[in-house]
Amino acid sequence: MESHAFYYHLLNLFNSIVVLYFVFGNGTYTLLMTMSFVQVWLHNRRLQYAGLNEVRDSAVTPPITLILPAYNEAKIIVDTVHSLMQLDYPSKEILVVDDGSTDNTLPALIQAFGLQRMDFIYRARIQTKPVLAFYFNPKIPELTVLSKVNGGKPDALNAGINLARSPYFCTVDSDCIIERDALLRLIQPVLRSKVNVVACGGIVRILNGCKVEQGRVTKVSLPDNPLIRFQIVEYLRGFLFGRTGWDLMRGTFIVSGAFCIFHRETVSEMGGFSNDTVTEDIDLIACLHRYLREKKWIYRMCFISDPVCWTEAPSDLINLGRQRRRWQLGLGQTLAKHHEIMFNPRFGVVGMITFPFYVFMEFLGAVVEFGGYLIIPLGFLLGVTPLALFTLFIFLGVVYGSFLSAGSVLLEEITYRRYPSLKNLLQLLGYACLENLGYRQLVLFYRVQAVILFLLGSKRWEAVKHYGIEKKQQPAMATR
Amino acid sequence: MPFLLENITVVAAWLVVAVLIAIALIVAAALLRRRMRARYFMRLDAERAKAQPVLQGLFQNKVPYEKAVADLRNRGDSYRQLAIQELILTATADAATMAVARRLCEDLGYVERWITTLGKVKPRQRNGKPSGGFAPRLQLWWDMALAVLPGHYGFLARALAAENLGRVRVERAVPSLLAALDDPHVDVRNVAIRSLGQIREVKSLPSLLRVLEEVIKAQQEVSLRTIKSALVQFPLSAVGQFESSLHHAHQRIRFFVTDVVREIVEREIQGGYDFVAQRDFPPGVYKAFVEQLWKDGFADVRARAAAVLSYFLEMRTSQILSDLMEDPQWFVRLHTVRALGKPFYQPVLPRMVRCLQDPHWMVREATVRTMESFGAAGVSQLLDSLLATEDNYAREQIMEELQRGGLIPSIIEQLDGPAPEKAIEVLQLFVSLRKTSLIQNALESHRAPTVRLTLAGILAAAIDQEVLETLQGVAKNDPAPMVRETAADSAQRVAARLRKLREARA
Repeated sequence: MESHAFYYHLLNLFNSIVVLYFVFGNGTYTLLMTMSFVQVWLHNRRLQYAGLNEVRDSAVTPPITLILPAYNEAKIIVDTVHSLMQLDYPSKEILVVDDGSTDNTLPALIQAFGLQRMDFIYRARIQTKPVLAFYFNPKIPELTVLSKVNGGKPDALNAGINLARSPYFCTVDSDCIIERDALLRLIQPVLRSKVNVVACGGIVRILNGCKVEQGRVTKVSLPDNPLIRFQIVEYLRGFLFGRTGWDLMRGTFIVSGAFCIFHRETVSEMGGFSNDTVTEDIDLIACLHRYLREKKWIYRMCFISDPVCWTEAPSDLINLGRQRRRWQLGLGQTLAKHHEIMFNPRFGVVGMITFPFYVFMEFLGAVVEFGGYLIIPLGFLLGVTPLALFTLFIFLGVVYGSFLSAGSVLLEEITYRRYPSLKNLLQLLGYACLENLGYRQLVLFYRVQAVILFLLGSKRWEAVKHYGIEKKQQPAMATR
Repeated sequence: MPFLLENITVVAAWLVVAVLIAIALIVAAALLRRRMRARYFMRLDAERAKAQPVLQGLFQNKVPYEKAVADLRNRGDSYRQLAIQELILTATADAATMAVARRLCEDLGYVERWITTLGKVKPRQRNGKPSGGFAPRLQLWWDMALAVLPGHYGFLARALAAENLGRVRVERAVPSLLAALDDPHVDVRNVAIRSLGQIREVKSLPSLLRVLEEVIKAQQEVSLRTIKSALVQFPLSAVGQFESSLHHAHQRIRFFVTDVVREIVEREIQGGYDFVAQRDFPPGVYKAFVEQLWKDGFADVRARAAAVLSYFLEMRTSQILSDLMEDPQWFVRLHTVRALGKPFYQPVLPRMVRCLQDPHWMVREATVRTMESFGAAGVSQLLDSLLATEDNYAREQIMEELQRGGLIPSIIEQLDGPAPEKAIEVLQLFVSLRKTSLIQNALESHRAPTVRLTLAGILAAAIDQEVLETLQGVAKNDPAPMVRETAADSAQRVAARLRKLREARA
């Protein structure tokens, strides 16, 4: 009998933790949502007087180096480089770092851009794997391709930083398409800020389903694959709510490495991207916070919601699992590596709010939430969990989540309206309502797997396969 | 009501219902919004379509101005007004239609409205204290909260008014824009600064310079880039206004103003000015540059002053720049060498050669680029320096720029000419420093057998597995027997050298 009572109390305790987790998590997200509504709406209004033309023409707009690490991306690399060359920015340089690809990545680039092998000087301010060769065409001086021994994405990025010359560099994933004026928009906080902006990230949107012509997205629509539609809703919530809200609180801790600008000298001085984690972008942000706080430098990191980078999302469960495990594992590794930030008032909002939020809600919370999804319904079926708790759980774990997701679609509709068709809007709203009935639990499962991998000390980089977006040749449709 | 478990069930159930209703409201709001936007744009498009022919006719001188104004003024509906205003503002971007668009903005009352909007606020208090802290942030949040209230656009409307005044570039807006430099909201101040830069009215310069000073002393939330962007737009004829700032006790103010003058001069040069002469500058400013700024205690000032001085194209400045090439600060040398890239300074080339051995690689790189910019004479001097120097850093830098500049093919072409000696020497040096990629490429693809023959001979000095493979390939596949023979001979020599090297390592 005593052991039964013990288990009953244990179950009650766990249930209470789950409920508290949901109350706190949903509360935080609601707060972020409210702030984001104001911030995104205002940002959208402010674009009326943003003066992009002045940024383009201004003599003080800093040059940017776009660093594109590539490993076995033969199918898409040429299109990506073409899209980068079309970017509307007064002074840019493109560095493609071929990280020891075993496919046709390098030959494809050489052929497409008439590159010739040259012997340039490589000053390894940040140590990297050996550089094998440089490829350059004097007629396209803004493009340089560097070939090196495979060392992983952080190593490739570091090689790019070593070769970069501009005060800012922008990391771009090889499967991404950046909107024509995205760099002009992304540099705005740098131009307007009174203090040194060391990192600034833009929004990442899902490319699947869109029409791409000559490296540009010409029509935005939803793909047929439901798995990707769920991810679209998830991205909207993550970027429009989460990151905007954290930015408003000056608590930016994550920017997507798929599209982000960094202050080169600061990153270089700090030692560049590290190989310690499988998410080098999150780790770099944490490293920058630590480095700059130690130096007592005044700095700013920001996120803005209108420069768009389109990326290909995993279209099957295997690749989705790989991606989400990597993200969660990387988050865990970063949080563990930078545990000094936790509740450290020296780090301000990041130390007192953002970092603990990521530890308890995003990393450990995955286990609690997953356990909740398993144990509470099971307990209810077995008659151990009371109806009250079960109803509360349904409210907090399913219904409220749908509310938040639907809110993100509304925010998108109020501000950027990237999906012009009414059918797409209705589909997005439908998927927002359904997201918490299966998809969320699936992603949680991958995240819990990653927590286990973290506890086992795994450092495995799970590569996501990119299939490339079908390029259609129909004429572009006018979109508002 | 006691807090019982049963009550939680009821509360939770009600919450579920409430949130489901909220979701339904969100869906309805999204759909309603979509419908409203569609209607909005449809009406706007219709109004644009109506106004477009009138405006086009006016811009093409097909419709009399008075008739067009009367026609546009009669369109009273807010959609119509918005469509017309948008179309006119778009026309301000085109130099050909700018003047008419500006006149329309005046005659249709837009300018007056924008000026009135901009003045609807009390100016902020200047207290000379550093900006930042809790109070300004609270003010910003309060402004943001006000901005989202229906009908209350506050700073958004003021900023937009300032933006439009800048786009239309009306001089009578300058006093309002100057007053907006004290607007409580930083966005309005930012846009006002930008607009003043676009209007380029000289009388606004003292206020902008005052803002620059405040920004440098951290008494303003405006960024340095914003104010600098505005200042650099002023014409060269306005630089007299900068004179007192060039003598300012604060070194960063001297630096920024010097840099602004540099940007202005460079823009004028790009705009078709042949060169800037003493007569283009007020005597005080000219004197400051040639007598004071290049000797300034703050190295950044010296660096920027060098760039301005280089445009004077006088013997005096030539001497000053020669001296600055030996400045103790590397970035002063860097800016000086970059600035010297004008044909007038070709006589300075022999002194510039010394910078090829500068301890800082960026100075070496800039020197090579500047020498390249002198054309054939510069390249020839560069090749002589490459052959003469014993400094491998200098050699590598020169070689890199020769590759980047696409000059190697022309050097290779010289092998087929009457005097190939210098080209051979240069290419031999490339081989000795293991920079053989382009030579190998030419060996495999050059059309002239004589060139391939020479290259095969030059590569015999290499110690490189890749070169060996290339030579072996050529020895097998080249159409010319002589080239095949020489390549085979060179391959043997390279192989022998590689073998020796491996043995030595073993």
